[in-house]
Amino acid sequence: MKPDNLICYHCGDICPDDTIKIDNKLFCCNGCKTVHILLSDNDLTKIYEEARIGSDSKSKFDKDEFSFLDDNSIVEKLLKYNIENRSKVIFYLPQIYCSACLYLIENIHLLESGVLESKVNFLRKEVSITFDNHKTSLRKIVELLTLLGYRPTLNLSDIEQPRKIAHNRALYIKLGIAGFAFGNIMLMAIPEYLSGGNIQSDIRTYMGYISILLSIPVMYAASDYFKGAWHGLKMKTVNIDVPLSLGILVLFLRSVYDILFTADSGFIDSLTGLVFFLLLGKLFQQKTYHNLSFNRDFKSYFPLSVIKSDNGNDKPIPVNQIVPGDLLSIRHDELIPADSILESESALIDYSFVTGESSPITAMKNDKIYAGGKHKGSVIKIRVMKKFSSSYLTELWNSKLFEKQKESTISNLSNTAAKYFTAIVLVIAIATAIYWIPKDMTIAMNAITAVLIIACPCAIALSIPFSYGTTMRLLGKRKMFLKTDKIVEYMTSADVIVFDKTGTLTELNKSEITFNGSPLDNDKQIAIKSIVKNSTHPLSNMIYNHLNCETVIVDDYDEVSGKGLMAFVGTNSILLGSKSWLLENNIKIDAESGDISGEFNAESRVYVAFNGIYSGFFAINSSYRHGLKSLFDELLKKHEIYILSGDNDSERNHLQTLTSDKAKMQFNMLPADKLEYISKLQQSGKKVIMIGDGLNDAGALNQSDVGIAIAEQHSNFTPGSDAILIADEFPKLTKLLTLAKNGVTTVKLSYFLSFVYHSIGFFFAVQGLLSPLIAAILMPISSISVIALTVGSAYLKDFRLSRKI
Amino acid sequence: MSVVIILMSASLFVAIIFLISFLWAVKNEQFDDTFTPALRILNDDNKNNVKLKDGVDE
Repeated sequence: MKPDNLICYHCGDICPDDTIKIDNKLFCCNGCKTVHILLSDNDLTKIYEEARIGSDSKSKFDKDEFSFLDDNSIVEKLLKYNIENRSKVIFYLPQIYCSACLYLIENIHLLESGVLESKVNFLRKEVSITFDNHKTSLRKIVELLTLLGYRPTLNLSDIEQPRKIAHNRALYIKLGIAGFAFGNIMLMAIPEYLSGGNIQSDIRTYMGYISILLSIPVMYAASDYFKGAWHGLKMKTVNIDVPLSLGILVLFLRSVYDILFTADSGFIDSLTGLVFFLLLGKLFQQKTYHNLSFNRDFKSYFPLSVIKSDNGNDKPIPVNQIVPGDLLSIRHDELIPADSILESESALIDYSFVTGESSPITAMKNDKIYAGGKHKGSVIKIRVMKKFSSSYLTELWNSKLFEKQKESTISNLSNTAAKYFTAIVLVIAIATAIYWIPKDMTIAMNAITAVLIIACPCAIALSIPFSYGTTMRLLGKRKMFLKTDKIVEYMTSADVIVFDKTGTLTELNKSEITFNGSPLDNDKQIAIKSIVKNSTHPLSNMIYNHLNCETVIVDDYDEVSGKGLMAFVGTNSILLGSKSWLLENNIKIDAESGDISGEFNAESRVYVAFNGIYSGFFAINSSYRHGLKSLFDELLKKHEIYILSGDNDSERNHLQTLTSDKAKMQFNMLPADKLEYISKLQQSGKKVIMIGDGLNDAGALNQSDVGIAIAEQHSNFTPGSDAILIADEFPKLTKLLTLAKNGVTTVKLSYFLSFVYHSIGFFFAVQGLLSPLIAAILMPISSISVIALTVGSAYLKDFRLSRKI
Repeated sequence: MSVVIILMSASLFVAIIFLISFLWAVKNEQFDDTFTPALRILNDDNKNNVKLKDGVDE
């Protein structure tokens, strides 16, 4: 067998040799073999027809890794419910991606007999598992899932604030009831309209009573609008729900009166149709992106447990139970859970998460390291100084500054419209009353109620859900996901756009390092790597990570801050640093290649000299996203642009060129500085869009009017925000803003349209001539034309934008 | 009494049955996840597949 045919039957990885096998099936490791035997013993091998099970590195875990799940206080918080011997838990399994995953996970009761039921929600990538807690334990289930390649994500936020699942059940029920009543009442009303009112009186009476009966549950279906109106009035504001509720109530009462005491047939058909359309709008508005989370805070980033070393015994403990003095082991890529002192010799800590500073920082023994930093490299030991809840990061997050005071999610546009509209309606109603009451009381009552019925602003209430809802869907197609549809409006009203630099304008982990000059042989590479190892300067760290070789001991190491390094490796003297540092040390620098672009380039340079002879320089480029220049050009037409960065200002010049020198820039900003900067902008009357990525931007994203988080992939962990934008689409931001703008314009247009309908309606109403037939024609036509206008306009704009490249 | 009234009552009765079954389906969580069942049906039932079904709600 050729070596490249040695593919693991279980996970699809390449096997080191062909020693582990069963029946001609090869396995890369004993772990895969064990899982395979487990699966084949239980008739679950069908999984292999569709997929190879996740890579083995993910499915491996330390014997004690999940032992914190034996702790009842944690288990209690993770469980959804726990009645007698039956428990239920919901896990988020990001690895679910095909129907084979579903098959395997829904059959885990065959592998673990205590599991009673496991049910996957594919879109949410969640599994809910019901199990018998006498026969099995949460830990066993988590270990089994991990073994199968589906490691549940267990974060601190899972126990502090359990995931909430919002269902549309209530809305479906209301919609069903309203639709049912609407359809049946229409069916009974049509014969009357067609016969021109000449209908047998017993049939009419019967139909009238049935209509009243059917419309009672519709009043329940409309209850949200009554509640909304009541809340609004209590807060002393007039929102769109006020005229709506007034209209619905008057419609209902007038119709009941008409049917019971007069020969008229009432407006019940219009009433039910109105409620049905309104609820339809509500459903349309509720597009939720299940697998995205907009409400994350720092707790979602912290693991549930850390490894505590207790007299040489490593034991996982829950992260919120660590106390000062604990000795913790932190592995590669794990977060530092609390402010601590480093006990190991040295460590490389990446604080990009907390501060936005893109380069990892080297900490030496006894240095203080802060919560939120991510450790890179082999296992380190740290001694906890502060409790988890009082670390720098936690305190920062809990500070007053981070508490958002965004007024509400209610659209400003609809509120303004509602205020004017209600005022106009009241004036017309009062004028009608003054005119008619002295003349004829019956006509007066007739006319006043008719005005209030026609005043029911269904077209206005529908235009926002349908316009913003459609825009939100179209934005979703273009990979921008909004938290609620109201964000469309906030996006449009912004006049300032604030960018974070690291990770937003630049691509993370993608600094390009090239060496210009005479090529470095292996010895020189080793020498350079050994020297930069001693330096904490970000550029040194980048070069250290760039060079792929071992290191040796250096002598007479000297670092002059802001200039460069000097050291001996063996007998060779080496200088590393800025151009002036080399010139100061009397080294002649020959004409370098690529030096022409000089100052205006984004690259930082580190010059190298061996034994007094210049040998070249390292060029270090932050890699900026493509298309930024044209994006800025477009944006600058209508917006002010600010760039806030946690980094130093080494790239100021390049950013100035990118933004045609029109952007205001601030460097060395801490998360709290960014937040404060944005709130200052807001105090000066600006509406701010903040675009950022890391946890360090979370406060600013929260404070801004619209916080847009940039994510490299769908599944990326993004901080809480109002919108999530996939990084590839970032250069097309102007198109997205245009689409949103179109949504708002359409709403205004449909307000005008419904104004026309209302004028026609008022014309009949003030004369007391509003017949059920006119109402039954006018109301659906206005609703449907508004829906057609809003949805059509959004799609048309989207189509035009896709053609314009 | 006109025959129309009887016919209308009958049609309303049928419609109410459909309304009730719709409400039952919503309460029975059938509208909570409209995507996964489409995938689930692709998987054959296992011969020793024992399902738990005694009304455990959230």
